[in-house]
Amino acid sequence: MDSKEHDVGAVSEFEPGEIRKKMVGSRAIAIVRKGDSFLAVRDLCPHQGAPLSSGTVSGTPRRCVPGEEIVLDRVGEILICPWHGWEFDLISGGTLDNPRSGRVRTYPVRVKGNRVIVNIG
Amino acid sequence: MNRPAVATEHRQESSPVLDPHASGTGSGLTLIDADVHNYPHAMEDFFPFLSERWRTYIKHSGMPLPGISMYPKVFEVAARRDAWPPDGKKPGTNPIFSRQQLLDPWKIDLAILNPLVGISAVQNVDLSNALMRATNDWMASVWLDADPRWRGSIVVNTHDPASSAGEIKRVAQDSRFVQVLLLVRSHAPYGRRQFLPIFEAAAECGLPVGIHFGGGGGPITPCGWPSYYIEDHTAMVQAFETQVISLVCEGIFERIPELRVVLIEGGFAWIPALMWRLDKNYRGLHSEVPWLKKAPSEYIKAHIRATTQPMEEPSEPRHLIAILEMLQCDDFLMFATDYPHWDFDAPDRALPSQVPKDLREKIMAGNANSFYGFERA
Repeated sequence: MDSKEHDVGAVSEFEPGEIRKKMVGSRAIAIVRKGDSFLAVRDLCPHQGAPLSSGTVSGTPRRCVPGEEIVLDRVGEILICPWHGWEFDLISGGTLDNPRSGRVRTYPVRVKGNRVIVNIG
Repeated sequence: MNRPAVATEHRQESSPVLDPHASGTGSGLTLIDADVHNYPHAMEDFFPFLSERWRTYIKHSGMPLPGISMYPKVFEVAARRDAWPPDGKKPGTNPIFSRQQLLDPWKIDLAILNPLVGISAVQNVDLSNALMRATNDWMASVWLDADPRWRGSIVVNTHDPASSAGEIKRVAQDSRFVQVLLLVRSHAPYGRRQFLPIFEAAAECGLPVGIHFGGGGGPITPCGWPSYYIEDHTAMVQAFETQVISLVCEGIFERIPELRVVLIEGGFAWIPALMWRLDKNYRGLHSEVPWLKKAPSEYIKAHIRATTQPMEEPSEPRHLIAILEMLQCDDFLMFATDYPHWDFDAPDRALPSQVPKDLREKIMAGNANSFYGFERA
């Protein structure tokens, strides 16, 4: 295992759609399971420092016109900050529908055996 | 019924969506007044434009002119004390006197008339619709025919948007009518879907929608009824904010991309702060309104304009210049006097001297010329 890679637990610890906070050294990381894959971001909102691991995993509404049913796309890939509701794309780290810039750091994750391995680069 | 048709020879051409880089300078128009008020003196002024049924009804019931305000305005009928015509009738009722007191001395090239008749305050919807049509015909016959510098606004009945849409299409055939007129204090925010026919008809006819100071439909502040006219007047900004927020968030500018709106007599210093607050909330709450494709402030800057009167007058004029910069849009403001009202802004005094010459020219005429498409008419 690369020195930048860290074992953060067994696959069975992570429920799909839930966020788990894991410490790698002094660094807090928010990890989300989506099916059999995992997504990880720094556990710190770039806006005002909220712990993203206390947020909600959801999707983002598909563009529509007023009056149409609002349908969520990308369910499981969007993290909603627990404080101000900013939405982060867990894959790119970028914010959604955001008039200003804002990005949270993402980390590659792989599964080795039944273990979840995060690369903190 | 003796209703003169609106003048169809003045046919309207459609106007494009606002171009933030458009310039109306160089047109030869140097002063456009985007808010002047004309009134009937009494209900009898509408009789030539009403059917026998409604003339009888109004006479028999002794119905007065429906107003748009509940407070004594300190100044009688809210008018300058020198605006009473020599015929003894009320201010704003005599097109010759208004011309002599406003258009001629100030050398105003064009002036937009906004008749503040409480059409939507009349609960009898059939009478309200009749008064709507009568007011528009009275405008064409009594005012627009009296001087080529007058331009008219189309009044509508907000309790009957379908009939209002038909009226807009009828009256818009006369290109001397340059906008649809709504009052800012409405019985519901104008972005709500019930009002769509009004906005769709305006856009279809190439007309902007003016939202003007005044109106009613409920307590005039979100906290209930204040005691004084100074509160009524100052708190009007709350209603303007409500309408801007509603129009943007309900997605009306996505539904009707060519729609243009002008805020009349609402001031403008509050607009930068509203844009900041709305954009900030949009970051966390955008999923509620997924029809929006960009930041709310972008819709405001692309679709909404405002008239200047009543000018905010900070004790440090440079603060006003800073607000103009915060608007991030030199095309945003259009000069207005609000004649004959007591809070009239004089064309030569209203803007502080620190306003740069190019921007001053746009505010005094160029922006209104572009917005209303006067050169195209």
